[in-house]
Amino acid sequence: MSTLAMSTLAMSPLATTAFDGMLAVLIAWTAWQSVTSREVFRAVMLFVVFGLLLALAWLRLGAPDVALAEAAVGAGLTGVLFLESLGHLRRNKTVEPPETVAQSRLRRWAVGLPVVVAGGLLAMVALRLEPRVPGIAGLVVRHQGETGVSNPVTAVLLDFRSTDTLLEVVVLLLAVIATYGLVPHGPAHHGPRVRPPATPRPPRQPVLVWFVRRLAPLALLVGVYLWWVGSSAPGGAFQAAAVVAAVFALLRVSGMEAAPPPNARPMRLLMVAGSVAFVSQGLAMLAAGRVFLDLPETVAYGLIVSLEGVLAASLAACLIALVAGAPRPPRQSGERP
Amino acid sequence: MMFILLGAVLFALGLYGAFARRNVVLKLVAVNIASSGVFLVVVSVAPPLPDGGTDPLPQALVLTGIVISVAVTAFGLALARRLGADEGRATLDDEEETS
Amino acid sequence: MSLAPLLIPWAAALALALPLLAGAACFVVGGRAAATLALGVAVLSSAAGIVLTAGVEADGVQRLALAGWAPPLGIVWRIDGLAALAVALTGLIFAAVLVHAEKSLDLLRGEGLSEAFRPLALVLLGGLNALYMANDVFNLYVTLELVTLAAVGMVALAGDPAAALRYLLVGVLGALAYMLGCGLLYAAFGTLDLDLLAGRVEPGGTASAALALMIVGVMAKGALFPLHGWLPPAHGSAVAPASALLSGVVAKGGFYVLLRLWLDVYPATGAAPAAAQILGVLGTLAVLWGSLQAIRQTRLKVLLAYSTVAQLGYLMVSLPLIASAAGHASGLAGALHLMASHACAKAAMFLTAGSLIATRGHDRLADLKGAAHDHPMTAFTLGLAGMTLMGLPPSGGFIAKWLLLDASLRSGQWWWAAVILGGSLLAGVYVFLAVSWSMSRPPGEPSDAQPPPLPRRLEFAALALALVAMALGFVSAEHIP
Repeated sequence: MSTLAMSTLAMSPLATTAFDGMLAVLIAWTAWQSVTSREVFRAVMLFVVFGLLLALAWLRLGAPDVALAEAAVGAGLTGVLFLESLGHLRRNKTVEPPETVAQSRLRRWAVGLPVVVAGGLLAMVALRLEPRVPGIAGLVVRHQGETGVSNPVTAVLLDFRSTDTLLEVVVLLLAVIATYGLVPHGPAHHGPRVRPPATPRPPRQPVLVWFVRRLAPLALLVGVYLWWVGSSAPGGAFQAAAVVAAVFALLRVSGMEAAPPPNARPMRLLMVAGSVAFVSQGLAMLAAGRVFLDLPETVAYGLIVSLEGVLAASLAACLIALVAGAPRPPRQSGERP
Repeated sequence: MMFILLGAVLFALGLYGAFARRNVVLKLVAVNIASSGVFLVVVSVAPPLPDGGTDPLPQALVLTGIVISVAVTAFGLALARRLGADEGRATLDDEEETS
Repeated sequence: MSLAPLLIPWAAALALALPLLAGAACFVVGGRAAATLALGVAVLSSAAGIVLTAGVEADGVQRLALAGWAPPLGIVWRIDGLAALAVALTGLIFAAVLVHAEKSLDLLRGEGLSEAFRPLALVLLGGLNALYMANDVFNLYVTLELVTLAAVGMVALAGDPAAALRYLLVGVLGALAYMLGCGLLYAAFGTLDLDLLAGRVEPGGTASAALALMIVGVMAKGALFPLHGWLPPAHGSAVAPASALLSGVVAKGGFYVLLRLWLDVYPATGAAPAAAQILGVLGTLAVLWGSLQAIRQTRLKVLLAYSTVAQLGYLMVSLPLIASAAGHASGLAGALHLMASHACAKAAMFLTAGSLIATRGHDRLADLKGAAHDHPMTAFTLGLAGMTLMGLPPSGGFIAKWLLLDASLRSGQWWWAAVILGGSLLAGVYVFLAVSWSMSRPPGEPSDAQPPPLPRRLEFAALALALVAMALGFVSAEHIP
């Protein structure tokens, strides 16, 4: 468990309850502000703050893996995705369109009331829940030795329930495939030509560029560390990929085009590498006379660490592609590159 | 217990935003907040382990959920861009929803 | 000596792995090789389904512990007759649609569109196969998300981005409700495995709330009334081969999961009879509303999309029959027959719409006059598949409705029989509308001008599916457990 989580656990019960309460109120308030904001930019900024606070809550819940993912993804990558798409919306599209007082009042009640009822019912059911049969944590501990990894969450994700994880890696690849499918194809396209307006690149900011240039290698190192440490401590392929992709996004924001063209074949190969490696490993086990996706105890550790390495690089490529968005349609001959 | 309540509140807030907001980006922000609420409930409703730790299974489920939610959000935003480029709008209007 | 222990693990794993690997390959390379690969994999996937069906026939339900871990720690695939048949039929429909799409999409939009369609279709196929075999409520969630995202990507391929976005948002919210249900079930009963849950779930607030959340979630994803609003614009605006996959196959994904929960877990909550009646009433409304809307439409694809809403309604009407002791067997067989025959028939009809769009550039019913004269095989296909929608003998739809009628009379719930008969009459009206336009002569003198050319393979792909829908009428109900 991370040192931060340990230190918060050491607080007195009263202090922790007070801290948790304040944290919960603060998170709910940020969410409220974000959801009711009429300006998209403000809502997105509040969402990033929300994500960071939520990462603290995950630490308090004793889920440091989730906390890392939340910080890297919820606050970092998702926020970057939102900001990136804001740059593509015209100025008048970044505020909620105005409506009459009657409309907004109707909306507030017609949506608000059922939603409050739904939330209330959920809280009631969840708070009154009586566990009948204990979960599988005991089994995880008992069999964890056979997976070679000492982080129980990694053991669940990459061994016990690796089918879920395989499909989840495919979902991320699929998001890229679907996004690239949005680009009109070939010269014979008749529909409205989708040419995203040239993103207004922010002017190069010397301080930011200086900062990002020095941050980038460091962050890459953090990514590698997160991958390596994932087997025994909080971390893993996805968190590592998110950190790398977030650095890429920073490079974009600072006005540096650091990416290879996302449409290039090597990039696409890297993007599919994770899914292909995962599936192939599963099939290889079947061919070796074992079960699909099985990890024999003797080689489990090596396979998990190497698979996570491929996954980290591949997931990072997918996330970078998603941040960069759909590639531009093929250029017309008259245009200058 | 605190975090179960928080999860339910976030779920309700996110649902509200997803239905009441018309701007697509705002809808997607709200959906992400609702997801966070669901994730909080899933982890904190599971009974704590005898040693006071947190059950690893719901954590793994939530990590999977987070990845899926990023993928869906990213594609949703790509669609929002396309909507803006094709039709010059950033909203899903109610009138169409009923027709 | 049975081959099942050897063949079944391979067939099951390849049903997932081949489409995923081929989808990845088609994302990197395109062209003729990719087209051949995609078609070959769809055929192989169907073949895997046939192997699974044979294995289940010989040795009964198979359980495969994935990664070598048994539940509750790990995940199993459960391959029963329903799952095996679904794999076989889905591969077949994908093969026909891919044959059609390679030609029709390029006629429609020039080269690249079929290149973008291929990887989406293949990942969708892999996701569906995983969905059919899944036996773990959270594994079902992941496969449902995979299927939904691929389906939304298909709608967005050349369709309306607003329709795609609405589909995406409804799908995400449905997934959230579903995931909440999973979390509650695990916290209370310590497992996510359907078989284990069936033994552990006790009646009470937690189980009822969890199941209600999950059912609402899959109803949103499966466009089951009243959460169907996103379907007509999405299926009506997508390119026709995509609509064929969405309306034919993907639309049943939600009900498929609902059925799994219904058969395994729901009886243990003790709330099934009441919930069944509610779902049956909603299904009735879906049949009425979807059919009446379909009758009002002026475009073929939108008409077909509303008809899907109505046909999904029948599936919901089958739930109160399945929940009754006397009607269980024939109700279940009827629902499965309906799913299978509607999948083929509706895919065939969307493909004919795609053929007509490929030659005429539109699908406005009023302007389809003379289509039957120009393309008799396409018009014949439309009529043949329409017979299944109406439930006329000897189609698969007829057997399905016969079984459902039988179930409602056996269980003494005659009012559901009235719904099924009334819905068939309404279906007759909208199928007649769809077909009659193409039958009518264009105004003025018959011209000597050559009809716009229609590649043979487009017509054959659709006809093959319509014939399968018809042939399902000859498959006896005993083969579908």
